[in-house]
Amino acid sequence: MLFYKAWVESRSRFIFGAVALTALSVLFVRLHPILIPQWQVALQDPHAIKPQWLPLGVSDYRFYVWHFLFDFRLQNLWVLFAIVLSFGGLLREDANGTAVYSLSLPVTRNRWMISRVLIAFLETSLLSCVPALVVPIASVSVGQSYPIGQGFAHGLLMAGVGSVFVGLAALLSLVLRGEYTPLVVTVATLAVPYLVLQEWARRVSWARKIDIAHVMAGPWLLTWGSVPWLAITGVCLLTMLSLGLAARQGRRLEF
Amino acid sequence: METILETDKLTKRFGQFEAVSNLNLRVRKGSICAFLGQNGAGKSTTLRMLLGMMRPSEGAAYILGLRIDDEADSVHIRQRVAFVAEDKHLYDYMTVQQILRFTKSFFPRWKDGLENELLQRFELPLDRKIRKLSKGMRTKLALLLAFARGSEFFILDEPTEGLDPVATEMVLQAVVSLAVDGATIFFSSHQIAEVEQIADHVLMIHNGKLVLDSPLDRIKDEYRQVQAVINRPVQEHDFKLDGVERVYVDGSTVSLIVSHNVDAVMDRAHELNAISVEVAPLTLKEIFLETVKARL
Repeated sequence: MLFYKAWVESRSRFIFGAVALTALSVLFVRLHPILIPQWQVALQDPHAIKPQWLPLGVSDYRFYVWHFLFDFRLQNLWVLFAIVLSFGGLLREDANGTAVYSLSLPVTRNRWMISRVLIAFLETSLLSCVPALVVPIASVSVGQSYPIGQGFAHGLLMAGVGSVFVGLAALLSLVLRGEYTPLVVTVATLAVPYLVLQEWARRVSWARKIDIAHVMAGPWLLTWGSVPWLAITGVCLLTMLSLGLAARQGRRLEF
Repeated sequence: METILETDKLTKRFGQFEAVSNLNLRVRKGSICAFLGQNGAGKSTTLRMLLGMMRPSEGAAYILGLRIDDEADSVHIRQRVAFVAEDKHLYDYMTVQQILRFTKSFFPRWKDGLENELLQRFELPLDRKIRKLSKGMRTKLALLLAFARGSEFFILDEPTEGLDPVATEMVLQAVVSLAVDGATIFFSSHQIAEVEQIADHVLMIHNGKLVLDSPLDRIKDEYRQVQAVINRPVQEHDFKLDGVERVYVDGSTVSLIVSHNVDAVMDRAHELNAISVEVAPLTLKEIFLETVKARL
């Protein structure tokens, strides 16, 4: 029933996230036939400023999808919803007055946190599968095809590495008191550095080594052998550390 | 008689401020014990410590023999104790039916019969969202969610706040029924009339300290106001006797609030050549006000 409560609390945010990710996926698929002729013209123009990826973007639809969705806008939106879905818990309940009711039930504070975090992991994982389902279907409407397996592989990599945002947001939810202020502070604390680092890594090659967005995107053709296992392990450890600290913080709180 | 709640020098400090100070309470099994005190006296802090929401700064407390500051014990306590908080906030995104189903899942001894009876009596609409319920309806729902748990011990913080007189009466009857069925009730209230109606024991705290711990009958039997007219100058210390809680001197008239030992007080008045001595009973409200005033 704790899972049920966590789901009821977050389901409108989850549905909103699913709609937003669907809309963004469809948008970039529908933009493909508009952008490609413009890029072809640019490629033939010797004076035009051409990014390095442009030839591959024109010639390979799979690269186009990866570049605009899994390595860029869709990933940004997913991170935002990962934070939003992980937001909540006993401190927020304290702000709206329901914490006392929750804490009067025979449930440890760890169980409250774990149920909420597991639902957040599940919801963010499901959101990461949205493009894997939407893109292959939408691609048909623009005369392209996209392998569903590739979409799921990229989606799960994004969710696996991005789980660190869930862990950190869960920790901050147990540190910052208030109803909506903690969400604003959490977004500023997690999303802003993520976006800045992603933008920086596009211009400075060594910054890619510390750019989590780069790890979440993986290589554009993702194979079993090209999965960044070391980075995933590191991120999982960081997620577990965040959750451990969150559990400790949760036990120390007074209501 | 078996004790269901016991605190031993229970203390809670917030920085320099001592909200609860060396509190020694005992609630006997099967009793309806009222917990009185002004706003800010430390009642809610005490109740929140008992339910594991706050940690005591010092001292210990046991409910049903389990330690309140042990995490595993605290879960067992909450399994067997029903708590209704003062503000009665519930999950407003759930419907009445959803919160019933949710709460019920934690209590294997949930009383379906009582749930249905109270749903009807309180006229709670199952499919309505909690955010759309009136304050009174929310209070009734919070009480139903506590009463149906099948608990042995009920801790109720201002259970009738926000209820109309009819609903208040229904709730008080339900509380008495629970006690008749063997449950123990520990409730705080600012409604002295309610306390007089249902309580059999009164605990009163002031500034975090216990100032009264007595069966209600004994309070009613022993607390007296003694008024004496004495034809000579009298000082407060003339009545410094066991049981004298407060002395008011107004010219030749001395008014005393006496918790016990009335005969000795009357003897002293006569020793001081009192022209007249009158003894009158006190209401619980007067006793509450005098007890609080005496410590201001």
